[in-house]
Amino acid sequence: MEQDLSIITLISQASLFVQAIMAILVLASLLSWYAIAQRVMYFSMAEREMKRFEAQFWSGGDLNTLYQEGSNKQGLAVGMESIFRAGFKEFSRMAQRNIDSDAVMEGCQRAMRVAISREEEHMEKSLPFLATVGSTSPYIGLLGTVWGIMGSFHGLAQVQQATLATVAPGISEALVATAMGLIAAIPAVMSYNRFSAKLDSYMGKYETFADEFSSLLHRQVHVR
Amino acid sequence: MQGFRLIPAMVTLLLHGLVAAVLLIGLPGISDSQELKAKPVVIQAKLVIDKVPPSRAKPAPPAKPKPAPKPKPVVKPKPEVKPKPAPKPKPKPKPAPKPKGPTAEEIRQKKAAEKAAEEAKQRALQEQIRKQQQEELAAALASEDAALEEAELVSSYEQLIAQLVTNNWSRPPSARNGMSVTVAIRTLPTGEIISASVVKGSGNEAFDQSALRAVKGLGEIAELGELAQQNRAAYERKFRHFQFKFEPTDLRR
Repeated sequence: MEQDLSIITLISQASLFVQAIMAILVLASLLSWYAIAQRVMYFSMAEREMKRFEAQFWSGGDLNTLYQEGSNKQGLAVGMESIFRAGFKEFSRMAQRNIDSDAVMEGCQRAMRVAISREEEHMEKSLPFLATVGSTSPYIGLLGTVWGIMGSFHGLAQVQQATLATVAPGISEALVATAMGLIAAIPAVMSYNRFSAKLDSYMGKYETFADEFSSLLHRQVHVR
Repeated sequence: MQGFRLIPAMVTLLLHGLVAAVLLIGLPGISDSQELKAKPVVIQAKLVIDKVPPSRAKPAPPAKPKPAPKPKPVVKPKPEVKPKPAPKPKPKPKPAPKPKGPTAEEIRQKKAAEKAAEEAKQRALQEQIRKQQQEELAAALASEDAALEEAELVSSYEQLIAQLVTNNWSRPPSARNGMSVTVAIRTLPTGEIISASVVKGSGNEAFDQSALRAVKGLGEIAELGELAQQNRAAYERKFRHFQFKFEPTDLRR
């Protein structure tokens, strides 16, 4: 009564419902890993850009030339640079029309706030999905397991002589679903926590930069 | 920005492909864990009828010894028969001299006739003995056949009961291989179990009690009731009182 208990045969012998749950979990795992890889790349890119821009910004060069350099660059500005560009664009536009200095500052700050919230939106993209996968896929896997064990015990009730060998394969098969749920959930939860912590720290940095930049602009407005 | 789609997709597919490949081909660590395959646990309990073997042996030995001792008593009476005809001729010769009629030849003829009669008698007797022996042999063979048939029937019921009891037997965790407990069981012709008691304990009270519970838990063995109706003699001989030996052999310790 040697039975092949490799994971592949267990999956192929599972009931349709359990197989569907396994498929959902595989899909969740695929999508969450896609999201994780994308987020890792995005955050590392944002970090690189931020370092480069901060070095450039505090090197004491003219803000106008900095803005022009950014415009000549291909692609959209990311992170801190986009905040700078939004604020400076608004500032230069309003300054040309000779408006009240307080109104200029207010407009600049508003533009920067909008840029910051847009950055936040970019950064937290697909984080809710990771949170969902992390919190629900263990339950989905558990549902598959419970269903599988139900079936296994149902079959057991129809057998006269029950041995461990009649129950064990069914339970082993059912437990594969829980294992898959956990395999999908653990990286999702870990990366969600890591990314949301990173998001917080980036938001703090952006807000600090926005404050610093607006104080610079404030000086320029009132010196004039 | 294209890199933000392509690279994660590739990373994801690579990772999942790797996991799938590991599952398909199997890593040494994983294949090791799979050697812990569930082996079918078979509980072996045998119905050992300790009292019955002597009783089962009895019907067989009587059949064999019978043909041997019986012919002897039969043969012995013949020698007794022989002397009878012997005295007869003695008185005859006595009256013979009285009439003095019968000549020596007549006497000789008579003697010859007597001898012939005697021989015929002996032959008839021998034939009778032979016939008797054959009949006895046939009877013994028949009884042996019947005993065999009955033994088969009984052993099939023994197996059935063994399976029923075994299925019903939940052993305590303290049960070990090599322990054995013999339970004496009394049943009614309806198949009902009247009593069960430990004849020879294993020394482990929980183990003994589990065996008793297994027997008493059956309550009634309907098949035994059927057997009692079909073959009352076999039931009375084997299953009215019998002993059951519990002996786990499949435990890990």
